Amino acid sequence: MIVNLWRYRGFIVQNALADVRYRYAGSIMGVAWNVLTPLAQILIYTLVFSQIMAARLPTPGEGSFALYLCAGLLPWAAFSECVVRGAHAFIENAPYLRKLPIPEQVFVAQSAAGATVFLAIAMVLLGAVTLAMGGDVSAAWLGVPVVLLLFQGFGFGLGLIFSTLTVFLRDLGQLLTLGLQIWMWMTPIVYVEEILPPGLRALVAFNPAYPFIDALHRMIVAGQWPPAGSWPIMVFWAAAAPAAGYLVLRRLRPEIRDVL
Amino acid sequence: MTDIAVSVHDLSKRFRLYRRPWDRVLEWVTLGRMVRHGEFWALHGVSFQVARGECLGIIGVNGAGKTTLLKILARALHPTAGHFEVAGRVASLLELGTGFHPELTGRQNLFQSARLLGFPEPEVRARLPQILAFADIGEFVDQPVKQYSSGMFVRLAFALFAHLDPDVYIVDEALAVGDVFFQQKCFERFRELRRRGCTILFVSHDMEAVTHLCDRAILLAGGKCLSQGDARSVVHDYFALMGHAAGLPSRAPMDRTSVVAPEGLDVPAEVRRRLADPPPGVHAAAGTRQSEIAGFVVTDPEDRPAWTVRSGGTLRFWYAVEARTPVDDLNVGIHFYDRRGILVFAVGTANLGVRLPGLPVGARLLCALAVTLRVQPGEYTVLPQVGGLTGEVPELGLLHDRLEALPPIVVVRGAAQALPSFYGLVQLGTEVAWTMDVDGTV
Repeated sequence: MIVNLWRYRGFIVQNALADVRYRYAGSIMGVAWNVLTPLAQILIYTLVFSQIMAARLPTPGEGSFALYLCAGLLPWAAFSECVVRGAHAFIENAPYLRKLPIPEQVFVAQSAAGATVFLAIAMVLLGAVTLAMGGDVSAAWLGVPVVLLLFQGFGFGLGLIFSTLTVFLRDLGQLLTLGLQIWMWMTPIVYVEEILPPGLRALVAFNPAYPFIDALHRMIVAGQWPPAGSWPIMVFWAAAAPAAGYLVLRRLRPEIRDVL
Repeated sequence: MTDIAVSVHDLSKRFRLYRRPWDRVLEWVTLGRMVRHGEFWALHGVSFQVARGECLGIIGVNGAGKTTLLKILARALHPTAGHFEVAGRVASLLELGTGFHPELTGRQNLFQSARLLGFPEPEVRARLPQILAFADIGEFVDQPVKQYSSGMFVRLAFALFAHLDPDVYIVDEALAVGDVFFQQKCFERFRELRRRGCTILFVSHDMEAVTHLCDRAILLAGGKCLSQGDARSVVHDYFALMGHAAGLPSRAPMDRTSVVAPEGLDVPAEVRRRLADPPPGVHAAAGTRQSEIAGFVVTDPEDRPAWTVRSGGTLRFWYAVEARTPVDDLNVGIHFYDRRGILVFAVGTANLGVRLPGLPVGARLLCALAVTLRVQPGEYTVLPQVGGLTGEVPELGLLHDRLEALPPIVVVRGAAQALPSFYGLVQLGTEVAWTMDVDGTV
C-alpha cells in the first residue's frame, strides 16, 4: 500500500493542492478564502468568548476559552473531513476508478492530504492570532504538528475503512456524518472535561480521539507536553486504523470497481 | 524480451448482481452461507496472444464483453479467473480526457493526465511541442479546459494519448472523434505508431477501420471468443453472426395463393426457400402495409448469401412481395445510406421504367434488383422498400412497407492494386481520351 502511495505521491499532492486552489474557484478573493475562512472563525470565537462572554477556563491562568475551543475544534474539523470525504472518495472518483489502473487508496490519501493542508493553514493562523493577542506560544507548540499528523493518520485509516464499505452500502456515508457528530460531543472539545459527571469522565479515557484532543489542549492552551502514556496510544491508532483499512480494502478490492 | 506483447489465458470475469444492497450485507453477516446474488459472466474463458508490433481488433455486438476485456487488460477491473500478461508499459484510452480537471489549463491537464496514466513528467515535457502541434489548439492551451469546445477537448486529449509512446496501446472507439480532418490525422498517427513497433489493441464497431488497421482480430459474443484470425475473415464472421441474429423469425408467413415472378427471373431453389422465411430487420411503422416485404435475401451474382462486396462489385437484392389489398402500381426500391447518414443512392423499379404486374390480394411477387456498388469501401445501411406510385405526395409515391435495422452492407476495397480505382464517395462514369504532341504540332 505504502509503495503505491509513494508512486502516486505527485498525483496526491497535486490534486490536494488543486483542491485548495479551486475550492473557491470563481470567487473574487479566490485562494485568499482559504486563509480568510479559518481566520474569521478564530477571530469570532476569540471575540465572543474573550470579550462578550468573557469565558475563562475553570482552572485559572490557563488561557482563554476561545483558544481552548480552537485548539480542539480545528483539528477535529480536519479529522472529520478526512473520514467523511475519505468515505466518499471512491464514489466521487468513480470515473477514474472505472477506467484507470490507479490504486484505490490514492483517492483516500488525496482527500486526507487536502484536509491536512487546510488544517496546517488554520493552525498557523491560530498561532499568529494567539501571538497577536498577547498570548503565549510556548515550546510545547513544537509537538503540535506531530500530534496533528498522527490524528490525521488515524482519520485517513478510518476514511480508508469506510471508503471501501460505502461503495457497497451507500447509506454508510450518511450514518457516518451522524456518527461523527455524536463522537464529537462525546469528546471534550466544546466543553471542558471537568464539567462531566464523574461516571462519564471515567469513560472519556476509552474514547480513541481523546488522547489526541487532550494532547493538543495541553500543548496549545497550557504549554505542557502531553503525558508520556498518550504517545503510544496515539501512535497505535495512527497505525492500526490504516492497517485495518488496508485489510478491508484488500478483501473487497476485486469487487469495488464492479459496483462503481 | 519475448515477442509476445499481450498474452491472455482463459480469462473470465463474473459480476455479482444483487437485487438490493441489503442482500450483500446478508451475505457478509452469514459469511457467505446465504447466497443472495445472481451471476453474470461478462467474459468466459477468453484466450489469445498478441505479438509485439501487432494490431489486434476486438469486435462483437454491444454487450459481448469487449469493454470488460479492455478494462481488465488496462488493470481497471480485476478478473475473476484466468490470468494475463502485458509486456511493458500500457496506455489505455477507454475514454478521451478521463482525468482532465475542468479548472486546470490545458497544459496543466496534460501533465496531470499523464501522471494518472503513470507516465513521468519529464517525458511529457520533452514531447510537449509535438503534442501541442498535433492538438493544434493555439493559445487555448493556457486556458482552463472548461472553456474549451468539445472539439478542442478531444483534440488535446487525443494528442497527449497519441504521444505517450507506451509498449501497448489499448484503444476503445477513440478514433470516432473530431472532424474528418482530425480523424484522418489520428489514423495517420496510428499507422505511424504501428510502423514504430507499437502493439495496439483496438475495439471498434467500424469494420472498415478494423480491416484496414488490424492484422488480426478476435470476435467476442456473450463473453466468449467465437473466432480469431486474419482481420478480414473475422469481420466476415461478425457479419455472418449479425445476419444470423437479424434473421430470427419475427412473424409467421401469410397464406399464399399464387406467385408472380417478373418476366425472365430465374429464382434458384435455395433463394426461393430462403425468401419463404420472414425477412431480417423490422418493418417500418410508417408503411400502409397494402403490400408487404414478406421475404428479403441478399446474394452475390452467383446467388450465394452475401452482405459483403468488393468496391465495384454487384449484389442482388431479392424481394418477396405480398399484396394485402389489390395493388396495380407497385414500385420496388432500395436506399443506401453511408455511415454519416448521407443518402448515397436510391432507386426503384419506377425510376428504371420497369412496370411490375398488378397483384391481386394474397399474390406473391418475387423480384430481384442487381446493384453494382461503385462506392468507396465502408459500411452502408440499406432500406429495401415497396410502395405505390400514386400517393399523397406524387413525387414520393405511397410507402407500403420498408425493412429497417438490417445489418449493414460492407463494401471492401477492390482487388489488390497499387491505386484504388477512384477516390471519393462514388465512382462517376469517366472516359479518358488522349493524343500526344510529338513534333510540336497537334
